[in-house]
Amino acid sequence: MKKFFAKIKTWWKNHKPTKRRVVQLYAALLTNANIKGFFNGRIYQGATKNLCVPGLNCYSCPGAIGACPLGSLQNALMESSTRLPAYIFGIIILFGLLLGRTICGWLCPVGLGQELLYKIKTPKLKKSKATRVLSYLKYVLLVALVVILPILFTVPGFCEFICPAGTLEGGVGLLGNKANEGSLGMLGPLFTWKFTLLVLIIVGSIFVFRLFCRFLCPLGALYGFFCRLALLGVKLDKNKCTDCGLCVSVCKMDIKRVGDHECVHCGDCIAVCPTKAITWKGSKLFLRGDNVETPATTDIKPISGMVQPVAKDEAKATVEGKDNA
Amino acid sequence: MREEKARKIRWIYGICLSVYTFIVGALFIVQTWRIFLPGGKGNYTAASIAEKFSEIALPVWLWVAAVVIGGALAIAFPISKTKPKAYVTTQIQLERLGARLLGGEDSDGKAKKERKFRIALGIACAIACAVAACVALFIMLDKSYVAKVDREFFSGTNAVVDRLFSLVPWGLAAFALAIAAAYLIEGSRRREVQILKAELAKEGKIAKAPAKPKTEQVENRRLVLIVRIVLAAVALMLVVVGIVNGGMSEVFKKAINICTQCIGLG
Repeated sequence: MKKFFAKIKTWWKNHKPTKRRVVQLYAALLTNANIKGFFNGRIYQGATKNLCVPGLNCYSCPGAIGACPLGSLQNALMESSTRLPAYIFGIIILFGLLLGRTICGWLCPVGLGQELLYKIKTPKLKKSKATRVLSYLKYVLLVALVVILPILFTVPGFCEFICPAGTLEGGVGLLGNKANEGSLGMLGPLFTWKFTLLVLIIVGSIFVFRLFCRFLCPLGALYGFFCRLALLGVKLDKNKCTDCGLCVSVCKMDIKRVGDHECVHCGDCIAVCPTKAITWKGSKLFLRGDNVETPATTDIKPISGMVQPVAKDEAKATVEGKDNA
Repeated sequence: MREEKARKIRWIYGICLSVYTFIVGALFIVQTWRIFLPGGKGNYTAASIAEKFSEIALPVWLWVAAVVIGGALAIAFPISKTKPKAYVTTQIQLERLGARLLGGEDSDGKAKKERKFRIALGIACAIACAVAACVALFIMLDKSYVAKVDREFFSGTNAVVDRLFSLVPWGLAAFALAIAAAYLIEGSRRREVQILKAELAKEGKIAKAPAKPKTEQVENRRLVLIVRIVLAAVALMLVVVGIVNGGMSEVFKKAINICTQCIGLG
């Protein structure tokens, strides 16, 4: 019995939620704080819906207390012939400047959902050259569905044809309530297509890390443009970097280097960098020395033009330690 | 031995769970289409949804149980994490080898051939993607465009869906080409690395690797700060303009009403 409890204790020590996970949970709850809406089948109509939440969260979700930035952008572009979409452009630029893709890694409920699905114990599809190329699909969707379709055809292309948040939170969440049973008859081919896509994304997210974020999310694509300008996130000191590639190897996103447009600033790479070249932006101002994730204790020995880490003490190597929840 | 056994058990269970996950996912999709197909629009009712999805309730609950068992197996049979392997990209390897090689070239000119091959491949891929993009733009901008789709099945399609149907094959082709090019380029880089390493091994060609130049960080930081300040000012100005011209109230109006397109009503 003692052994069993000891195992549970060790498991909890290695798997307890990280700060990032806790922030993600709080953000998801705060973004959908209108719990009453899930019971009465009505969406929130309070003043906070003047503001956009930073992550992807359908404003037709019964729990949503803010507007979706992507949906608002498409709507504003649909009206662009009569009104300059200044407000939403300004909001997105502010989010990008402040947080960039840190939003994806820390605040987006859809990202949280995918990370939790990925924890299901199945074989996983690793990143490769193909996934790196496919990661540019979200830019194609951004241009085609988020910009061109709303401007030319006054149709919110991404919301209407792709968005899984809308299907799950709005479609299933809203229409699944008894109060909205009467609207079920209006469902047709569009909902069938979107629900099929939702199931494919959910199943795919079990095998592919952040499948939607990496390949389909135009909001992530937009925030990716601010990767160098964002105030928060991880940064790489190129003078300390030895190009050993451990950070890229550990990262589950399709990055070429830490902090590029694919990086969601989860911070997993900070612990493995042997030369402490990766830190949080503003860490000198905001963090004490012991709050920065400790790097692996490794030596770097150059071997014929390539760099390979040699662990000082293999048992203490942090990459074998706690699994970042 | 214990670790190997644990890996085997977890691997086998993972494969079984993966297959079952696909089956359950397929069941969801099949049931949805079974509701939709018989009558097209208007076939969704609380009764039909409850009936079709209760048929697959047992497999779904079994899947949930299988997931929980998978988690329990992970606790009961822990395995140590594999250490991530450092990998210096072929691009960095080429830079380092090229810097060490006097003249930066091999005597046979094979490295140059590989570089030319990569450039040609890159250009071909860029042209193919540009062609696909142009066709896509033409389809999107041509107001009279009508797609060749089965009107009996897709009776509810409109101008937008017509175009999206036509764009998908071009998009797939462009991405398939780009993925193929990425692998071919990587193969070419690896061959060039081997060529340069073989050249370095020859006598008299080895040069000391130059020290990595220090990045000019101070000037970069100033530029980034200026761009941040300018963008922040522009963003704040846009927000104010947006509030004044009614953009914010437009966002509010959209957010407090159900977005029928978002939830699948069209």
